[in-house]
Amino acid sequence: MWLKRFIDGLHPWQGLVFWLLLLVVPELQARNLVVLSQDRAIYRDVAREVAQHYSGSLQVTTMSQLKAAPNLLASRTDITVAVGAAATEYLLQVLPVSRRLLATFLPESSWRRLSEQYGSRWPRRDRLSAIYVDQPLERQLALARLIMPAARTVGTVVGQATQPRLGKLAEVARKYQFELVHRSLAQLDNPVKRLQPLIQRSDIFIPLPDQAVFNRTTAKWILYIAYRQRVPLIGFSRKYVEAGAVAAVYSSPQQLGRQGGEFLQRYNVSAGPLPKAQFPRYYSVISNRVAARSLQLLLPSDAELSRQLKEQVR
Amino acid sequence: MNQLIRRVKRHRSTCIFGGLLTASTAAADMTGGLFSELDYLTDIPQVVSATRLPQQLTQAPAAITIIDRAMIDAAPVLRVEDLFRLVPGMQSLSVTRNTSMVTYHGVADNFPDNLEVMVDGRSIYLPFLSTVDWSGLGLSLDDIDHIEVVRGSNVPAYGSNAFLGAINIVTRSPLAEAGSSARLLAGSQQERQFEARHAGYSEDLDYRLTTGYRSNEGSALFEDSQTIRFANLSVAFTPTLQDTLDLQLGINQTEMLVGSAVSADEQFVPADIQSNYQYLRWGRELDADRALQLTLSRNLIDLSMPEFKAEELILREFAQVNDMETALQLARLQGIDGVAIWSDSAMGRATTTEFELQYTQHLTPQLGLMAGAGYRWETVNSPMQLTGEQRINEERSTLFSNIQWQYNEQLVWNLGGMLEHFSATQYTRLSPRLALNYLLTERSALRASYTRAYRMPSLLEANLKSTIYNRDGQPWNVLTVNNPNLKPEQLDSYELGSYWRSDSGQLELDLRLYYEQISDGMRDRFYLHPVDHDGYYSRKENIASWRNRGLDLQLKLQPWQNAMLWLAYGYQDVKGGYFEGIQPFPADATRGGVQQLDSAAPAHTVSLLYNQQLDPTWRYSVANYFMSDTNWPEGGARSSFWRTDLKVSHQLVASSKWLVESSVLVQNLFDRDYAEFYPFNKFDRRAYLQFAVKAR
Repeated sequence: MWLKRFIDGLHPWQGLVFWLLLLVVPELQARNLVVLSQDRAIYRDVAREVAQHYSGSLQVTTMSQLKAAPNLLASRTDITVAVGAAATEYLLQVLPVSRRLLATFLPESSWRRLSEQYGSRWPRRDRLSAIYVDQPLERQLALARLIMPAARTVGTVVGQATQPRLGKLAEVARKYQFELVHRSLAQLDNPVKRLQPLIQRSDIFIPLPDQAVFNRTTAKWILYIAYRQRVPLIGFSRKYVEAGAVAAVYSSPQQLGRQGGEFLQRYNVSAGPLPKAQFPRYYSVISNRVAARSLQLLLPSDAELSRQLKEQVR
Repeated sequence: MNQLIRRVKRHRSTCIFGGLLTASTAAADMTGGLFSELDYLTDIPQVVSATRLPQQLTQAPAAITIIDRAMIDAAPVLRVEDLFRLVPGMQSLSVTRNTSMVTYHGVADNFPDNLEVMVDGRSIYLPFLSTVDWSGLGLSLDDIDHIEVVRGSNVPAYGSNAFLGAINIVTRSPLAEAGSSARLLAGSQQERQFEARHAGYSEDLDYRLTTGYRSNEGSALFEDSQTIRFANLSVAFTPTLQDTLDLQLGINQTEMLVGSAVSADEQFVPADIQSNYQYLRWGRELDADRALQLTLSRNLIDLSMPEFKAEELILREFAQVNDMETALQLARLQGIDGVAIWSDSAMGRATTTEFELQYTQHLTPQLGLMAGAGYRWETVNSPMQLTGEQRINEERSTLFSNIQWQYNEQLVWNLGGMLEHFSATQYTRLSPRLALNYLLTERSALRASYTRAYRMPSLLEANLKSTIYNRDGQPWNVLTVNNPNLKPEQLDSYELGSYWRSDSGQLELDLRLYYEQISDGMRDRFYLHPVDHDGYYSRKENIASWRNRGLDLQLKLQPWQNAMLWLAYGYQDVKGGYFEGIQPFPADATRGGVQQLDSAAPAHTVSLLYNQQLDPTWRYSVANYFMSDTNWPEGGARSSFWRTDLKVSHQLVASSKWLVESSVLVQNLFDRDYAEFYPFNKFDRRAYLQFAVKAR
């Protein structure tokens, strides 16, 4: 804004010089660089929402464009935004460590893995922050409690990547008066053999997202067995709900973009440290009515569930 | 005598979960790579049939109809093949009271050879009849999870039989069910059906067993009764996280009277069909981007018909002959007394053993690859149709591939092909397909494709030769002569398609505009024979050509709460024919001359299904079918008809463990007087009562 006033106050020829300088000296253009993992509508949706909620200006590019023209990174002091895990990984490697990075639209497990992998390059960790695409455990367990008030045990299955989250999950489960039952699944385990008794012992089941192969193979078995045992599933994505999970807490690309925009609005101006990585602030609840009906669960509308959930986790 | 031969010739001339749980797992789209944000998104139903690569409907290179569990439950049908009346452009007809035919775009007789039918990817097409035996399917409607129908040639993915289309019946995984269920049905013409199913699991295995019994006394006119007994077992085993083993075993026994309902005094003969199958599939997810699948299957069918001595057959067939004395005299005159003749040529024993390997990989986020190879071994004994041969063996080898390239956000290319070699002919053929999809949004797409497909002659068509010898071992009547140079039929298919789904998912629209040119179609060509009994014989030759053009339209709508409306419309314009031989034929005035195919398919077909859930316990559905005038090869000229079917169901929670569903089903509710294929197989009004008990 000060820039605008400055420009208005210039003499015409001074203004001309100024604009010429602007062309030559790109670092004077205070634009935040937003790097999309791929040129796809989903990522562009996030970027668009960021722009809508941020008064500064953005330059949106894709990872492949950036690789071809790395000068786009040339010294800016403002926050660079990565949209998606691939862009995050790339920027963690090439972004000058004096800069600040906001990673958005990636799973918590991916962020953790990437920041461990490339963290040694970054002496000041408070230059890094993230907005995850998945939901905090509190929300999922609170939703489970809302769906099935009388449930006592909550079950989950973990793979290699989510194993570290078990402790936190048990703690949050206790907070919502759940007893946690869990098993881990390794590559050479018979998944059905291990899932069957586990789901049988659960009143409600919450699979946690892990690596792709794990998700892809286990989702199928979990859906079948939970359906057969009449155990409600809390999914971790819209797709899971469409395939048969009873409900999920979900943040759309628009909701995540909005949070990104607000983040920039708040932190871009100051040159200070960034807050720790955060879960999505804006979310909705989606449910599968057919699945609910087959499980004899009477659910209020998605909007009402959403409202009740927000009240719970406030 | 002439009638006898005509009858035999007629048969000779006719020789021939949560839906989609299999593909809807968390990340089967084009991202490749480790678990990423993209796994959360995309919500289009996924299909596997078009290219064997898991693809979204908007990216598949063909028009696909998915008949899901909800439709199967809603449709007022008794048999699996009746479900295909709901597919635009497809015809499912009652040939005789207990036999059916299913074809796509008409131009087929009661043994349609242009449509591949598979159960979980295993072909149930019979090479020695060149068709599908629906009575031997051995499945309960409850065993089915969903059906994928590819409308348009699918030879590039599944080979020869999928010349104009392909049906894949996907059964429910044993993991999806638990407990027992039973179903009892009774109704018109002494229809009795009983089914019992049980799904269970041990520590390591999950299984489902289905057993069934069906019988009815047949139509009033012919009393062509049928009794079917079947059982099937499905076992699933997951030894490791990445491996899945599926084993399926089935057995089926059908006893029925067969014949052609061409005249009111047609004599039906008893047929006994025994069949069984074994199927093993091993799937392995190698990593996030690659998967491997190996299948082994074996089908065996034994079709036996009574063997008659010539004089017995004469006595049976000819109204003028009333006693054995006369019949014997006539037979002696011809020198065929005591000669064994099968009353129906479609009989014998066939075994098919098949092995197939399939590999899929996401090479990059934009590029998907499927490649595979297959080998099939067929053995047929068919004395009537393959005279003089003890056994015929044929081998079929295939190499196939499809590449999907997502050029950018909007454009998806699919290039695929099937290289097929069949030992019965010396021809090897490559059937390619090229398709371009333009994605308007995440839920809608336009598509243009071109396919060149070849239908290899079946084992039967390639080896067919049939002669009746007299007592002295001399040829008395040469029926068919073998054609060693029989070529594959060729198809050039061009299509424009569009698929559109509304944001809420309440409206789905699918439109396909097509132009199909078929050449070298195999038909019987008749020639004069100087010394043979009736003076002529036939030989299978590549003499037919025709073109189809038209459109298939499919609409699925949820107009208001708890209701579903399905509309399928097909328009088809056929032009073509073939020259059957120089007329007149001494024994058969209907033979020879130019055979037009212009009306061998209905110009208009309409199917409408409306399902309404009234309250938690009551539900009803109404189906309406219309077909315009058609002149079916073999069946004859049928005038247009429409028919209404109704089903009303009530569900009762009998106890904490059991659910009872009672239904009333009426077919041809308004008792329209019409026939679908043969003139004398009229479809009467039928009513049924059904009780089903399911574990909750």
